[in-house]
Amino acid sequence: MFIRLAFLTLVLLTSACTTTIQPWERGILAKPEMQWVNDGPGFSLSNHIHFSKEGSSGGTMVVGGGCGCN
Amino acid sequence: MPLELFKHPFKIMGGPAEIQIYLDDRINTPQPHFELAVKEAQRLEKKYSRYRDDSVTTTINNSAGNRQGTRVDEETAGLLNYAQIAWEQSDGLFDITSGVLRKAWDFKSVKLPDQAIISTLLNFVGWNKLSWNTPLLYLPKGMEIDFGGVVKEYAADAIATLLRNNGIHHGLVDLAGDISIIGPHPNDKPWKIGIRNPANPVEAIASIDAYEGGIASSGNYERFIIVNNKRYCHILNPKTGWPQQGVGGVSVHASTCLVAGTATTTAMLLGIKDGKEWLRASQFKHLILKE
Amino acid sequence: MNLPDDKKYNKPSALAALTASALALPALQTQAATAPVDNIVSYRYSSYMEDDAKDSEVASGSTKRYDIDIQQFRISAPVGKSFSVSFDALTEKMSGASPMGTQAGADGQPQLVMSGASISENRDDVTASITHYGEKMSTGFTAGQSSENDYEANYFGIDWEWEFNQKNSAFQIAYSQSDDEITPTDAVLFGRVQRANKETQTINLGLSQVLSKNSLIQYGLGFSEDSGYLSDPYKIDDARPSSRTRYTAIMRYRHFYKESNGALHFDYRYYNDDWDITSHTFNFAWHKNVSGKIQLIPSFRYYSQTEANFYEPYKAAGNTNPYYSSDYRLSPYGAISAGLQFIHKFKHFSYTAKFERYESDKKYSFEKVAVENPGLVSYTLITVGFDFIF
Repeated sequence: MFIRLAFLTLVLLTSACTTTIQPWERGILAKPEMQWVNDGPGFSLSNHIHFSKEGSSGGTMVVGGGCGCN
Repeated sequence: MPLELFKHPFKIMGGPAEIQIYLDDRINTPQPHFELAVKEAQRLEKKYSRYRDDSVTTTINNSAGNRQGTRVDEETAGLLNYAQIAWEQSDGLFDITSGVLRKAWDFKSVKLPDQAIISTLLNFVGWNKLSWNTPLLYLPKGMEIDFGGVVKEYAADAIATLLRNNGIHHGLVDLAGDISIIGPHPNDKPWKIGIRNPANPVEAIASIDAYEGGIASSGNYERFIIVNNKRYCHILNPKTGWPQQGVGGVSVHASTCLVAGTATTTAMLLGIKDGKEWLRASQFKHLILKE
Repeated sequence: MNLPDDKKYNKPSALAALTASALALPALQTQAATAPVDNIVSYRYSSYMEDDAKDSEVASGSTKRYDIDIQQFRISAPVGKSFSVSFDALTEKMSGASPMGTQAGADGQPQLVMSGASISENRDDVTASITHYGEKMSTGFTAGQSSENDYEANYFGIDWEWEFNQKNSAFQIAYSQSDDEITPTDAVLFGRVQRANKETQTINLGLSQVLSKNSLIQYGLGFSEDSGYLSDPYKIDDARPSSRTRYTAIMRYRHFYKESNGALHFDYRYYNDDWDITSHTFNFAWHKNVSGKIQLIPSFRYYSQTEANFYEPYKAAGNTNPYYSSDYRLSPYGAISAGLQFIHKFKHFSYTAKFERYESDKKYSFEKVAVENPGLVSYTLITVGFDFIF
């Protein structure tokens, strides 16, 4: 499928153009605003709302159960 | 979130030491980190001290001549493995069995040692004379292991790693000039490490910019005697029992303080010409100064 | 002292050999993901308010849709040098009416059949998790339970992360499972199933990569399988297949801009399942540091989905498909949402407030939608909360 091919290409391109940064250069990456999730409870609530109110779910590693809300 | 610099001076292994760390003190206090660091330094000091009856060093040395050898713990095994590699890579100049030679030298007096005594002692020096097969060490009678040439540098690295694993990203550990960097200044600027002027050791003659890794320095100004206008320093060649002349001071910046220390000792013993060549060929970042 | 001629060493190997030997010493091993050192206690209160249904869209029943009050608690703490534990509790109080089905209106357009007077329900969800941080790998285990008067879910998950390439790259793998039991209220009265089960199993794979000292990217693939009773027992004639296989592919990007002192977040998710629903989700956020203590985060989300192959706006007379649902969640539509979050950080304490507005409509969909489901939701979400760090 076209989407799968585009995705794979993007992954390969990214791996090709990466540099190795040294431990001392990691200051910016450690900032809270640079984390995958900046506000844990907020992210988990958003995930739950979208899971209950839309037709799609997943894409995150958040472990959660179902609910009667959908 | 602004980070502030906190310093903690203390004494360890017979010399002055200092921990410097950057912290956001609205979230964390520096005290627990300093306690952790000092405790680790004291642990290693006690464990490898020549002067303590309960140290690993004393236990090993007391077992000299024992046919079954001594079983050592994981940390000591790691250091002995390192000592073996260092002995091989320095062509036998870095040798932790050379401690017995101090029996011949008295750096408090102004007398040169008796060559006969040195010759006798040399029979008991040489890594190739012992048998190291992890975790068993067999030490022939009369020989001694001295961790003095590795433990301070190793401690600096171990403390830096400990603090880094505890969430400190910027700082350094300085154990009497053996330095291990936790991380650069928060604005990504490097630490400026001063290099002593061998002619006037209280002043710095140059500085090394370091973002990470370890820095060790050796010099003929640390402990020495002067006889007939010649300087004899405390770094002794395990093959001859005598120090090498020519090098005033050498500093190496390597990935760890441990490795840097091995490099400086080796360079001192090679003399100014061969030392420079060895450091350059080995690709160690270094600064070597003539006597 | 000259080096003996018979010993010719490849000198650069000295540095490599010594370095390797030094780094093999246990005390010089850096831990992978740095175990957190702080204890954190968080509380959030959120008010979720759905827009009322329009009178023209409702055939019968209440037009008042859901209002939900949500409280979240979280405690996380380090344990020893390499473990951390966390505990999450969520409690929701819901009231409002919900669509029970659809029927054709006078003009042939679908209308909602809403449930009657407001119902009030509570849901409680507790989760506990423990993570171990090793030299190169961290492992986590999570377990929890969500319960309401008519639904109980028991779930657990395991996750691993390996860091490599000097911690510039990380590979993640996670498995999670949920076992749910549905016991619809008034089952006998309304002819609903009295007790049913549903099981969900999910595997997620991820790869993160540091691109530069200012940017990161992450790719993920997810595979999930639902089995059991997947229909909605409260909707008339709702009959869905007893299995659903779902795939997701995600990409997340973070980039820090020094000049503006802010971080750009971009997240994309592609979703596809064997009910034929395909969706695209785009998330943008700008995490701006306004001063040393204040952060302002505007965000924007775009969502578009296609319909399930058994979805119909209402049940037509000639429909012989064994499966049917008029649930808006299985209909084709799009949604956009915009939000703004404010965070203020102090010594050991920070508080936050967030406002978000979400609207769904057929006009936001990628593909042309012929008939819009009248049940599409639009809502306002307001959250306030604080964190204690010590």
